[in-house]
Amino acid sequence: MLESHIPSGPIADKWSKHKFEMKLVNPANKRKYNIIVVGTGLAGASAAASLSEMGYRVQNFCIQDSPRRAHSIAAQGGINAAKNYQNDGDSVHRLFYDTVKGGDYRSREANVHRLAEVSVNIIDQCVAQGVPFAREYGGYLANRSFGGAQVSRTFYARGQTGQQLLLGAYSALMKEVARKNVQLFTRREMLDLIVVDNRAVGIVCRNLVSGKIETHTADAVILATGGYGNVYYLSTNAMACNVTAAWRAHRRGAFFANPCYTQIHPTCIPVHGDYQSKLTLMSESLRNDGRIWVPRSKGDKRSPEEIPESDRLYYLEEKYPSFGNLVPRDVASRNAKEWCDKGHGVGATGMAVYLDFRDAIDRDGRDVIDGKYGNLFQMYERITDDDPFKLPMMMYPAVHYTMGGLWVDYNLMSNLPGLHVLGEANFSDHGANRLGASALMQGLADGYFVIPCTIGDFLAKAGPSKVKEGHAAVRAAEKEAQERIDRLVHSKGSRAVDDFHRELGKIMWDKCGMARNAAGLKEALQEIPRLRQEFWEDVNVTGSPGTFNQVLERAGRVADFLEYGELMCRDALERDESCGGHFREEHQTEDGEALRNDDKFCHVAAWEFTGETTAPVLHQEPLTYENVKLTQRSYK
Amino acid sequence: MSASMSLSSRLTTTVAKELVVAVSGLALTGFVCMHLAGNLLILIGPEAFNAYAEKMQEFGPLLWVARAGLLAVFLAHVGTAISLARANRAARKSRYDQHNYVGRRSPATRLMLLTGLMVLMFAIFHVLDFSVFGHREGPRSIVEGMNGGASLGLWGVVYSSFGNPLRALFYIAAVSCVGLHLSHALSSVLVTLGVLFDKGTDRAELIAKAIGAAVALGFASLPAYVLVRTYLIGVAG
Amino acid sequence: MAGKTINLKIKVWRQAGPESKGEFETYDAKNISVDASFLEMLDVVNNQLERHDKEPVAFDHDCREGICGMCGAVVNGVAHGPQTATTLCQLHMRKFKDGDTITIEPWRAKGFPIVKDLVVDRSAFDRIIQAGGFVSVRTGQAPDAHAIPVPKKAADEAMDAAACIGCGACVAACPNASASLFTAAKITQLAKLPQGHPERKTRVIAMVQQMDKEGFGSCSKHYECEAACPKEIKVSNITNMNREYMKAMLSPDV
Ligand SMILES: Cc1cc2nc3c(=O)[nH]c(=O)nc-3n(C[C@H](O)[C@H](O)[C@H](O)COP(=O)(O)OP(=O)(O)OC[C@H]3O[C@@H](n4cnc5c(N)ncnc54)[C@H](O)[C@@H]3O)c2cc1C
Ligand code: HEM
Ligand code: FES
Repeated sequence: MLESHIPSGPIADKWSKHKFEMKLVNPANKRKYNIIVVGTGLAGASAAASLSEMGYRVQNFCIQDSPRRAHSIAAQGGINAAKNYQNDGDSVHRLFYDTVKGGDYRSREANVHRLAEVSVNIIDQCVAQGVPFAREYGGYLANRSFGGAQVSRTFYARGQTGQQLLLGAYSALMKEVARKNVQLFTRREMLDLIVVDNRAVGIVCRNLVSGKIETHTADAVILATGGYGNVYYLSTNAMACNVTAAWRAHRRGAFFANPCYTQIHPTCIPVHGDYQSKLTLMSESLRNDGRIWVPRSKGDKRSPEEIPESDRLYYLEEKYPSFGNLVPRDVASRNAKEWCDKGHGVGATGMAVYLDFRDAIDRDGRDVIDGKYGNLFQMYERITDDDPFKLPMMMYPAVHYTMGGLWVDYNLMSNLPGLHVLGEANFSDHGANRLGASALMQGLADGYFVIPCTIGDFLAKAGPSKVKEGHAAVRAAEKEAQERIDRLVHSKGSRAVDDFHRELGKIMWDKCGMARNAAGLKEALQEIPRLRQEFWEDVNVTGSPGTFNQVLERAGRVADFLEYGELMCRDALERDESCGGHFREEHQTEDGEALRNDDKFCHVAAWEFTGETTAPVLHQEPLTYENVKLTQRSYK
Repeated sequence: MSASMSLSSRLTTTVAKELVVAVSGLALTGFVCMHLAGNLLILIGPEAFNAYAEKMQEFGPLLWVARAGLLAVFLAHVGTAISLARANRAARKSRYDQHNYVGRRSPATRLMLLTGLMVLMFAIFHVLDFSVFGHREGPRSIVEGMNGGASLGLWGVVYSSFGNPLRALFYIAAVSCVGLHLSHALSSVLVTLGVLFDKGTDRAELIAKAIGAAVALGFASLPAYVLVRTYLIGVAG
Repeated sequence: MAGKTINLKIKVWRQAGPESKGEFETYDAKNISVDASFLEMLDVVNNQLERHDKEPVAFDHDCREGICGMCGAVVNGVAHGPQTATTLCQLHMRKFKDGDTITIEPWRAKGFPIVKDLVVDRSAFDRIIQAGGFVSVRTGQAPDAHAIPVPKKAADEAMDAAACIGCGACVAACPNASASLFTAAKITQLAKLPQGHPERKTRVIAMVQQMDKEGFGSCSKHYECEAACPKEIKVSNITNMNREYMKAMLSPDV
């Protein structure tokens, strides 16, 4: 049933072979096709712009007031590409290998290889758009290294790489909007997918300014709606990040793959109060020069500068001599949790470790460090009121990225014909753990280079959709969306939306967070439906539906998280092994590393929605490794 | 979008208008400086100043061409500046309850339109006063107790005008406006003309202020000189 | 990080829709942690309003880490509030004193019509970029990234300009509600880089025309934009835009 459509042949030739074998839409016919792209992040903007350049007519949607504000804007550290400009032994194969290994052998080889192949074109494209990447004095591009890699292949633009890449894609998109080939719909939230005869043919969305429910039809629908990290309430994601688009598509038949895979980023500013609305990430690049430590003795309350070298425990350097502070994120996060749980944590709550730049400042001088990380230091100081030049930063892991997503085949099409999913919203390339600087790469690979090729194959074979605005299924979906909104507004209960979100977040963090176990997950599976029921009975949504209403927006998103959280826990329970970011306490090595079970779980878990009262059905896509040998990951 | 690249549309954007204000403003500044230099001859004495005035007359028709040019530049400056000022006002329809300025914005910056309009009114009055009605050999050219009651030419006209403290103060107020106008304008113009970058800003502002002050003081020295001579030292002294 | 809290009054602009008449309303903000951000303080106030079945204050926000450019309001007469180089979401309550009354207004400019309360419509910025804030390169056309070396200085200067987050504080702070800083920053970024050169002349003309069309004012060099900019974009960009404009204004090859 799950056909991944991976082309045959040697891994390095699959993509070119596939490109040749795919059917094409003739240039003159492209303008007859309408494509909906939901999302204007790296994946959505690059796809919308590229498809429009090719001649397709595109309708592009986003929640924010401008496409430029998609959450991709917040990515700090950089983007990987196998350019080997540093002559340090990098290659397409090495990037492929590192990514598969970093993902703890739970990603599709063919997809990852294609990603590594097109990574080099991404950098070319972005430079041509005027993305001001960091450069060396000779005028050539600079690189830095990132966690999980021993080569320097990360391209960056100060601490604002995501911003610059997104502005590049956004400018390409604006160029196409100016040509009137892309129609832009800002402040729109997709609330449902329209499916007719097993083909995705449109979306229902709410105009967030007028409150009107709108329907849009097209020949294909692309979701590039980002990740679901906000199911945890506190995460490094922007406030509007949601699972709604993906979840609604799931309810219409699209399979959800590996929902339990979430990435906890090791270096975030610790939680400090219950009013807190989000967590702030400090770029992984800081680990290039910052050293992570905790006091050697438990409950040492001395201020960090009073703790002598001999009383400091640089636990990553001790445990992983070859990667040191640059181990992958899941490993770094788990170790931080472990030491805090053991009572070595620092700060007011004891839930933090130090990230210390003292030695780097002594070695390179303040100016060099300021040049590299100045804006991050400033950001840290603004939030915490501490100066990292004087005191080490305090860090704790936080939810950051979601590897799970809608299931897609090699063509990035879901099991629902016509529905394509790109970027963080799909599940495809990162397995159980994403390496730093690889999400930007994947989003842009999907949007610039993959979907423009693969969507043609679908359209050429499927032909235009015959469903128009007045179609009964369209009207029905519209009505359903409206009814759901009315239900939310009319419940007039007593508890604020955020209250429910916070409570859900706590359940998820405690029971389906950095470490999970069967007992906790089972509890969560009891608690979440209860909370969901309470939500529908007792939520208080102020204001009216027919206006700009931010409470209503949040309520809709939380309602979907309340359904989605359950699926995550179910998947986490079902996956009775540890891998990458999914750490089941029952399965660990003696060193506390994730212990996989390749015999039973070397597959993609793709869930099918069967109804609100019936359990979802699990489908498995087996993962085969022909080019990388499955081993226990070691970063020692 | 619907950009038009025609020359006329390129010449009518706000940036083009700023350029018109800048170039005309600089031309006016040049005129003001020359005018000041000529006027300072008043301090030397009637012979020097009157000789300069005579010399100017010798240009004959050329002088009229120059005057027409100056008038055109002045009108261009005023007209464009007012049109920009109106557009700028229209750009904020609803006002802030509180708007605190935290940048470099000085009173001179804030008062550009006002100082400009003051200069405009003064200029009209001034031209009528000295050029149209200020007959060089007429009764105003005679300063009581000087030159044995004979005409002192244009010097005399100016001198007797400034003998009136009200007129003198009015003149001083007007030239202060010119000074204030220039104290912002001369650094601003460097941004408009694309030559002033970040690092030079402090220095440029300082120099602009210095020139503004020098121009204002230079012009103001004339009425001051007459007043001091009339009331403190006495005419003959 | 101490658990210190303060009590404040906020006087905030309420306006139901673009055409409605707005007015100030005053609310109590009690027990606000000094470690909370300004937006988290608004969350607390909004939660209170919700509890009393009143409509919370609408305000735009998303990333809450100073990069998306979504947030922004004029706080006590200053765009993004009292801390320099800081967006509203990164402003923390430790910058205020117990007992303060804080006045909060939306960006006010003809080019930014009010949507609701503190929310404004900044789509004019998108249209300015649509007019020419891009390099006309299609996906796939690009040569190798190292085909054209770019001097580090030029790249750094382009990055300085490109740091703009499009929040609109420059417009909000400018006495003329001018969008010059925003427009100039994009023009400068692309003018500094060789990739932007082929279109530099038409770009500057078209973007300036669009800026005018949207109803923004002109630059009278008050430097208020620079002071308000959370990313410290400099007025030098405007100098640069004017220079680009002069080159293009009379050029025969536009
Ligand atoms: C703080 C931070 C730092 C990061 N740093 C890095 C880094 O250094 N390197 C790296 O590789 N990765 C990094 N990442 C991860 C990376 O930024 C994201 O995974 C990636 O940008 C996601 O891009 P996207 O296009 O898939 O989605 P997004 O950029 O999240 O875009 C989602 C789009 O979908 C729209 N949308 C969502 N839901 C709906 C809906 N229901 N209706 C309509 N529209 C909708 C949104 O408006 C938006 O336009 C970072 C992430 C965070 C949080
Ligand atoms: C002696 C006569 C005058 C001189 C020497 C002069 C000079 C200048 C100069 C050099 C500028 C700077 C232009 C720039 O910033 O690019 C300027 C600006 C300005 N002038 Fe004048 N000016 C004179 C008279 C006037 C008059 C009569 C007005 C009446 C309206 C006026 C109104 C303005 C205004 C409003 C500006 C600011 C324009 C802006 O930046 O938006 N000026 N002037
Ligand atoms: S919310 Fe993104 S910049 Fe403030």
